[in-house]
Amino acid sequence: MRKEQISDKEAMFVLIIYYIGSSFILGVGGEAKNDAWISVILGVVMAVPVILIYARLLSLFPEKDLFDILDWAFGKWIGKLFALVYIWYSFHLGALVIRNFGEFTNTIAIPETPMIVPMLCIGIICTVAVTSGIEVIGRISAAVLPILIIIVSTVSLMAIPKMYFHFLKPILGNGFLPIIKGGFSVFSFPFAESVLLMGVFSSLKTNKSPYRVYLLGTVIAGLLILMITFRNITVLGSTYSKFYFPAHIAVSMVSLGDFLQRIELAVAVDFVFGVFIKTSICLLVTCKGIAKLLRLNDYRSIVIQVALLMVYFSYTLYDSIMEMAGWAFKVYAYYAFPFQVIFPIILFVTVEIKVRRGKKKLQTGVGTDG
Amino acid sequence: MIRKKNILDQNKNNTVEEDHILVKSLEANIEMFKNLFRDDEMLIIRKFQNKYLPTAKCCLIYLAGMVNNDLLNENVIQPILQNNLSEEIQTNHLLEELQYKIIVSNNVEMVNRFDELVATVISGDTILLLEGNDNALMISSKGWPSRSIDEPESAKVVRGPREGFTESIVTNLTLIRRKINTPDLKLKFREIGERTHTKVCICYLEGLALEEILAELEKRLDAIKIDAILDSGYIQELIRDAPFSPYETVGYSERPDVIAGKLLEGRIAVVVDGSPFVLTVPFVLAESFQSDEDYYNNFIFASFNRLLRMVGVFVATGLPAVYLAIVTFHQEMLPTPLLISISSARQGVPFPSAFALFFMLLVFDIIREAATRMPTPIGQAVNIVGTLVLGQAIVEAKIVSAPVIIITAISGIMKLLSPTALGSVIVLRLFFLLLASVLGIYGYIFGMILATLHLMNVRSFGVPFMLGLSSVKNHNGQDIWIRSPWWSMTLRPKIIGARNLVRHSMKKTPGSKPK
Amino acid sequence: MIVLIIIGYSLLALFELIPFYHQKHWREFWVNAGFGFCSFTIAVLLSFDVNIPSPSEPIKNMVMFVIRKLV
Repeated sequence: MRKEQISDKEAMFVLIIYYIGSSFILGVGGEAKNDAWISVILGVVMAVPVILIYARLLSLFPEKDLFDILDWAFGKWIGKLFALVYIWYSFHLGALVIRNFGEFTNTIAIPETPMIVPMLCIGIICTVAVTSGIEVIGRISAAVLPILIIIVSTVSLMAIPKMYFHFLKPILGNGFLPIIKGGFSVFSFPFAESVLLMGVFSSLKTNKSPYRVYLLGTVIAGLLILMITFRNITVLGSTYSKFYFPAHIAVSMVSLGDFLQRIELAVAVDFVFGVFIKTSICLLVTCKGIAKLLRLNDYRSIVIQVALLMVYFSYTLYDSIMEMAGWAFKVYAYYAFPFQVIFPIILFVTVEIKVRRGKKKLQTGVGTDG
Repeated sequence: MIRKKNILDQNKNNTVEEDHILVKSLEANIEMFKNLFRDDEMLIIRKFQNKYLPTAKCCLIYLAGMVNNDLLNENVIQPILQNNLSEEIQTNHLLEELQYKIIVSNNVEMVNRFDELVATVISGDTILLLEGNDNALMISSKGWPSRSIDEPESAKVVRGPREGFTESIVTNLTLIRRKINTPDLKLKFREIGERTHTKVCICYLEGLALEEILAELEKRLDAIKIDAILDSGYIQELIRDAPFSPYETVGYSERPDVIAGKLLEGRIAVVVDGSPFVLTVPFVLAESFQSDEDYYNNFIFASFNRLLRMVGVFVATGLPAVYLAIVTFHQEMLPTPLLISISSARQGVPFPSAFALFFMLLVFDIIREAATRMPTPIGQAVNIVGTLVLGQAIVEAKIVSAPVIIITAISGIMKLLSPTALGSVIVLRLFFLLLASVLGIYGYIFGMILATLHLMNVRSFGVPFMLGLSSVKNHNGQDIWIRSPWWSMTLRPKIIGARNLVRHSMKKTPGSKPK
Repeated sequence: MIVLIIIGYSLLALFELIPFYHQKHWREFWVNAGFGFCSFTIAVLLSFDVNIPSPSEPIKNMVMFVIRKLV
């Protein structure tokens, strides 16, 4: 089989959509209230060192993904344990994203349709995407991201008449602590979630590209999220964090003349596409991990069943949207911290020590032929 | 399994063994032909002899209607009858004498294998048998009635050449050759179809067409094992990629200028005898939106037309689904006056919008299908039924609401903007409508994502089907969304024309600048 | 509902499992069958409105416990 490869640009676009996918509609940094925009900046700044670690790991092992690196660094058994941990994380994250979408459709968009139907649909689409492979996901991202950015920017521009800049004041009105808390939550959702992309960026072309992709992607996505947060705050004020889907509410207030009203659907397009890409990546990583763990020839043979399991799992996750919101904003950041920071650091330290000690082993054992 | 094998065995042809050759006796040879063509009364066996040399008994064998009678009479029979043969030769070289000195024809060959002779007769040539000779002459004499070259019905243009392909492969190749006068134009023949022995010609420009694509095409053509090829549509379906896709992955055209243009971009054409439609590979999605007229008109106007076609496909597939989604799930999207007028139009209509839309789309396609096959006078009757009965009466009777009719009509007209994409548009439209009736606008978005994923997966002879559609920057995209002016299209599209990228070397805009 | 699920899973088995069986990819076959069995069971349970325990609560409790220990 031909080796799958994606260009830097496509990888970056995948990363950006992965970041902005669900954060656009769920809103980020709610703890900081009207200082959330500072939290976004803080979150990006906090994310940079972690992201450098991911990029360093990837560039040390060209053409190897997260699970190969784990295997190489920790050996057979502990490596498998770590692989299992990451399979769980990507599986869970995918389920969470699907659930976000399900709640969104169920509460706002199409309340008549039972929640499982749109969730299953997302599952089916992701199955198709993942079976097509990372190349196709990259290509579709490259084709769609410009459209998404145009939609979001247009909607935000149209929102300018509804913006009240005094909502931004008082800056630092609640002190630093909420901002730091918000920054931490922005860090863990969405920026440090990019740890999972280590599972798919084995298809990058050169070993310089992980840095480029990760850093540029994070900065661009950071700017976009900053713009959205800014818009939400100025339109909605500090009540911003009270809504489940602030972007939706903010945009629903926008109108242009008499004719263009209620353009929430434009935001929904972004959301659907973002959810699609993010879930696809999670599903892809899960399937790749399981395939590596059970030594299957091709991860494609289990995609359908894993996707179905993911949908059912996400269906059973919460009882209500309140529970989801509570979990997403209170628990998630701490729950994800080990996967996003602690384990990668352990991995990074182990790899660095191993690499320093015996460069030879790296070349023969892993084959850095890229 | 065993039964299937038996059936396959039965399907053997009445073929001639390969090593069967002629014998010296004329009567015996004629008997062999008569035996093979028994019950075929179109086989003509004309015996005659030279008036000076009565031992030179000749016999012409051909199929009536397949040959040019005047040519046979004047250039074969008359010279043999009237020339004084006895002075010139000994009998054992008589056949060579006939071949080289007597028969007036541009192609005469000597053959002794029976199967070749049979093939010759079937293809419309004539064979000449001579008493006492175990060789025969094949004389080129093809000539059957064929349609003259006229403007194709399927692709009329306002501006551009008015000739179209016919059913004769030789005429078609001539038409292509007349557009591209270079020895680089290569024509490779082969025969496909175990019973029909249809001539198929691969046509490409050496130095432009990619070797890999050519090899792949030949491989796929060789793999065809079918009894009959009656139209290029057979070949199209047998060599295509993504066999289950609603999209065509092999292009076709009835116009020589279109085919010449594609050949010059590095594509490969397949000409099939008996079909006025010539196939081209590889085919990409963007070609569905291109028309040959784009290249003859002002480029701004042409680009506008092309964008219209793209929008047309987009609207034709999406409009019914979006309408359905908005009126059933997202009424708040509509401005209030519009919402009121739509809901007042829907007052008293018993069926749900989804049903009405499905029904009306079906009716539109029924009318279209009926009108295509009908002769023009009856076709008008179909139109009247369509417009009056179904259009007006159905609304007045409150079976379907007026907006549904409007939506159907817009979508129906829009899909006709790019006729080559028609099949896929109809399938996609129903698919989107189905999704939208369950999930509202999200169903439509899901459908779009699925369709895009599918399109990104499809390749036509190794070339991505979406080639150029996602970029507007480089030269791949110069001829996709818009038609750039000729003086700016210095390079051929990449991947397809990769072997020789430079189309021309004009660097400047034409015309002189005022000083 | 249950009928739909059974039809859906039989189709899946037909188009996924049978090819593996024919190609003699035993590992794929068993892994797929295992996952398929799990998801089929869950689907049937869901269709009967059985409450499947969610991992959200335990994770929440665990996270809270760890944080309380640390702070």
